[in-house]
Amino acid sequence: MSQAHAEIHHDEHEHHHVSSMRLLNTILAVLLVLTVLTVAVSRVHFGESLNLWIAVGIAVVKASLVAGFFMHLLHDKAMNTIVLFFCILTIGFFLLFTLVDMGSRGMVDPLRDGDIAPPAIAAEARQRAIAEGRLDPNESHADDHATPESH
Amino acid sequence: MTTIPTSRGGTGEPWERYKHQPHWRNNADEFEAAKLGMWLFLATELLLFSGFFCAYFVLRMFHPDSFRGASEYYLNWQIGAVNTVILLISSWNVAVAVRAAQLGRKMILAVNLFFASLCGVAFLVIKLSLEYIPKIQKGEVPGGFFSYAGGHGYEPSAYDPVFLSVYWVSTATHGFHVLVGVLLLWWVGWRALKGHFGPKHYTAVENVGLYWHIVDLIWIFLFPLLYLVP
Repeated sequence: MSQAHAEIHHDEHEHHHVSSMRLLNTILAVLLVLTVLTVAVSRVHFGESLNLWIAVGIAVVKASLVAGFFMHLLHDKAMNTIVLFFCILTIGFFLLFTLVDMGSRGMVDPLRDGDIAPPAIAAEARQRAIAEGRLDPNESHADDHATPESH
Repeated sequence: MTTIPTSRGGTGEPWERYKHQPHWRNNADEFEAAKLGMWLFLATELLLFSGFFCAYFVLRMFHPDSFRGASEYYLNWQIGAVNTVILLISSWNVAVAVRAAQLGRKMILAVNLFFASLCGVAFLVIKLSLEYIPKIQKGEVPGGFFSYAGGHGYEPSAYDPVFLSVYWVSTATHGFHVLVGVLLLWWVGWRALKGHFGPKHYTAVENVGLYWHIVDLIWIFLFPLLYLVP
């Protein structure tokens, strides 16, 4: 009996944060506005990488709103946020090191194949190699329009 | 020892009689542990999709022109935008449903769960009827299966199949998650109607809700990257 009583006592002291309708409606409205914004911004050309950063930036803001308010991380035990934080940190390392590696392959060695170095970096490395006499300018290199089967 | 009295008086709904599993001290501990487990699972979901995002960024870096052209030609951003709005609204429904469970409002809870599942079905119908089926018919399919011959003044570039591989694998995996989410929403919706969830016990509503939100959250990234490649 006393054990049951203790449990009831505990349950009554259970505090779940109840979000107000006003907050949930506001978050939905902001998410919809940001969706319109992300479409609108993509129609304006700020340059290749800036457009990408803006699109990812808006997506991060939207995702934070969903995680913080709809998934109520802001009013939760910190442990759930810590799990998400380390997950995102891991993804960050994964993307960072992969992209740094893949993005800089042409810098060290003048790779003549557009397939294993990004085209701009491959072209720059090729020019540098020709200028330094390390590469015969007449030597053909695979271009971006070759069929995948030919590789 | 019959039913445990609650501060709300009690209408005899099953949630009022809910008793945590014996290895927990109380309902609150059980709830928090289940939620932490759900978050750990959601972390693995994010890691799964991060592989697709990595492929997207690397291949986009290598073939920026192909990606831009392919995205503009093969994908219709309006369809993606409508699906984004559908998922955002369904996320709101799920958040309202959790609130209704916390406040013990059974009908609001059930209606919002079913409406959210309806949004999920609408998402899948739009995806299949306006994107997947026409794409399969036209041969706009990934990698080696690609057989689109061009037309309307469009000449497929050598890397269009690569873009379509990223598109198909990431959206189909996401679509599968939407399907699973719809089934889970029906399950909790059905249990909600039977009175299983209320202020004292709504673990399944909370965790299915978290799953539905993460599906929405992944689409928030997929939409601009695939449909609006800058």
